[in-house]
Amino acid sequence: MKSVFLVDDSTTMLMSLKSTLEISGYKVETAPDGQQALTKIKGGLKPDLIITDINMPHMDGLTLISEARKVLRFTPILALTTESQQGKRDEAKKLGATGWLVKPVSGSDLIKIVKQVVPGA
Amino acid sequence: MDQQDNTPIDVEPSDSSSLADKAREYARKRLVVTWASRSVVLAAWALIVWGLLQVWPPNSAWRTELLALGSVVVGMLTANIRFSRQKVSVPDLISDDLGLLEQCFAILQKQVTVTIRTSEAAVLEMVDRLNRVHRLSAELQERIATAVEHSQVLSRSSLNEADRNGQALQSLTAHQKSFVEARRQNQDRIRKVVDQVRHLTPLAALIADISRQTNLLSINASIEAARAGAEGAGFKVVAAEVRRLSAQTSEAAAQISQGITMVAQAIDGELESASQLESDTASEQFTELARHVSEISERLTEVVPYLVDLSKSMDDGMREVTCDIINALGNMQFQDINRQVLEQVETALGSLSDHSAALYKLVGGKAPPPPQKLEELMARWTTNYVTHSQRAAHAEVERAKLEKPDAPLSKTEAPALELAETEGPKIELF
Repeated sequence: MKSVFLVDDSTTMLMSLKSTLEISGYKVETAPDGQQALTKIKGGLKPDLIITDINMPHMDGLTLISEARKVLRFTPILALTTESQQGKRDEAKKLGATGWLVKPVSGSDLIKIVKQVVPGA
Repeated sequence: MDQQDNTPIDVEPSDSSSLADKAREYARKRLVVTWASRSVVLAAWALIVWGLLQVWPPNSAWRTELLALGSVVVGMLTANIRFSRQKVSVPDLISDDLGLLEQCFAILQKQVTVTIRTSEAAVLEMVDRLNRVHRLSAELQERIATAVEHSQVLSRSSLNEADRNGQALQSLTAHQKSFVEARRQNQDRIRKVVDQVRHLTPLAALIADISRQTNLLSINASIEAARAGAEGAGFKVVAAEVRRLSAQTSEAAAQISQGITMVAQAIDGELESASQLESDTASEQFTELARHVSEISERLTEVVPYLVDLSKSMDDGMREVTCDIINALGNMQFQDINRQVLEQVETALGSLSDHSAALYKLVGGKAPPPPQKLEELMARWTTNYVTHSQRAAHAEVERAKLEKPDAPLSKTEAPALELAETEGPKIELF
C-alpha cells in the first residue's frame, strides 16, 4: 500500500484529503504545518508522496519543499494551495516540487495526479 | 440657524455602553438643543416686537404689515429649526461615526470568525458523514458480493446436478424405450408361437377322426370275430382292445384340442394384459421428467450469468458512489479557500478599525495623523492575497474606478491589476 504525507494547516483540508486518499487505497499521514512535517520526515518518515499547502504557520510550504528535498531526494512533492501565481510556482519548481495544484482540485483529478506521480500506485 | 446645531455633544464611545444606548442619548441631546434654540429665537422675536411697539407710533404706515411679515419670517426660521433637528454638522457626524466604526469593525470581525468556525464544523461533519456513507456502502457491497458468490456456487452446483439428473433420465428413457421394444418383440414371438399352437388343432381333429375310424374298424373286427366263432375269440379280444384304444385316443384328441384352445386363450390374455401394460405412461413420464429437468437446467443456466451481471452492476455502482464521494470530499476544499479569504477580510477589518480609531483621535485633536494612509493600507492587502478570486475582485473594482474619468488613481491600482493577470494553470506537473 502506497503512503501519502499530507501537510496543511486546515483541518477540513486534512480530513477531506485523508478520506479521499484512504478511500482510494492509500495509507495517509498528516501534519498541520511545515515545521511538524519536517520533524516527522527527519524522524524517518518515508512516504511515497508528499502533498503540502503553501501558506502555513511556523513553516511555509516552499521552505518545507526545500528542506524535505534535502532528506528525500526522489520523493515526489506536490503543492496543493490556493496560490495560483506563476512566480511562486517557479520558485517551488526551483526548490524541487514535482507539481502545483490550485485548490479546489476535484477528488478524481487528485487521484489521477497521484497515480501519475507515484510509481506503481 | 445652522450654527445652533454646532453645539458640542459628547458622544465619546465607551466599552460599556451599547450602540443603542449611544443612539438614544444622542437623539435626546439633539432634541433638547433644538427646543432650546427654538425657544431662544421666539423669545428674542417677542422682545423685538415689544420694543418696536414701544418706539413705533401706532398710526405709522406699514407698521402692522412689517410686524406680520417679520413674524412670518421668524416662524419659518423656527420651523426650519424644527425640521432641521436631524441635521448634524459634518465634523460632529464624522467624529461620532469614526468613534462607532471601531465597534462596527469588531462586530464584523466576530461575525467573520463565527462564520469560519461554523463552516469548518459543518464541513468536518459532512466529511464524517461521507466517510460513513462510504463505509456502509463498502460493507453492503461486500455482503452482496458474498451472497452473489454463494448464489453462483449454488447455481453452478445445482446446474451440474440438474445436468447429471438429465443425463440419468435420458439413459433411463433410452433404456425404457429399448425395454419396450424388446417386450414388443417378445410379444410378437409369443403371438407366433400361439399361432403355431393353434395350427396344432387340426392335428387333434385328425387324430379324433382316426380314432373314430379305428373304432369303426374295431367294431367290424368284433363282428367278424363273432362270426368266426371259437377261432375268432382271440381276435375279438384284440378288436375290443382296439376299440378301447380308439376311445382313449378320441378322448386324448379332445383333451389335446381343448388344451390347445386353453393355452392359446391364456397366452392371448397375457398378451392383452401386456398390451395394456405397454400403454401405460412410464415412458411418457420419463420423458416429461426429463423435460422438467431440462427446463430447470436452462433456468439455472440463465441464473448464473444474471448473478454475474448483478455482481458487475454492483461493482460499477459502487465505483460510481465512491467516485461521487471522492468528488464531494474534493468539493469540501471550498471551506479552506473561503476560510483564507475570510481571515484576510477579518485582518483587513482590523486594520480598518485601527485606522478609523486613529482618525477619530485625529479629529478630536487627541493624536497625530495615522502612520499610513488608507491607500497604503489597501496596497498591503494586495500583497497578502492568496487566491486568484481576491486579485480578480480587487482588479475589477479598480477597473470600474478607472473607467470614471474624475476618479483619482490609487498608487496601488497598477500592481494589483498586474497580479490579477498572472494566473497559471490549475494543475501543472513540472
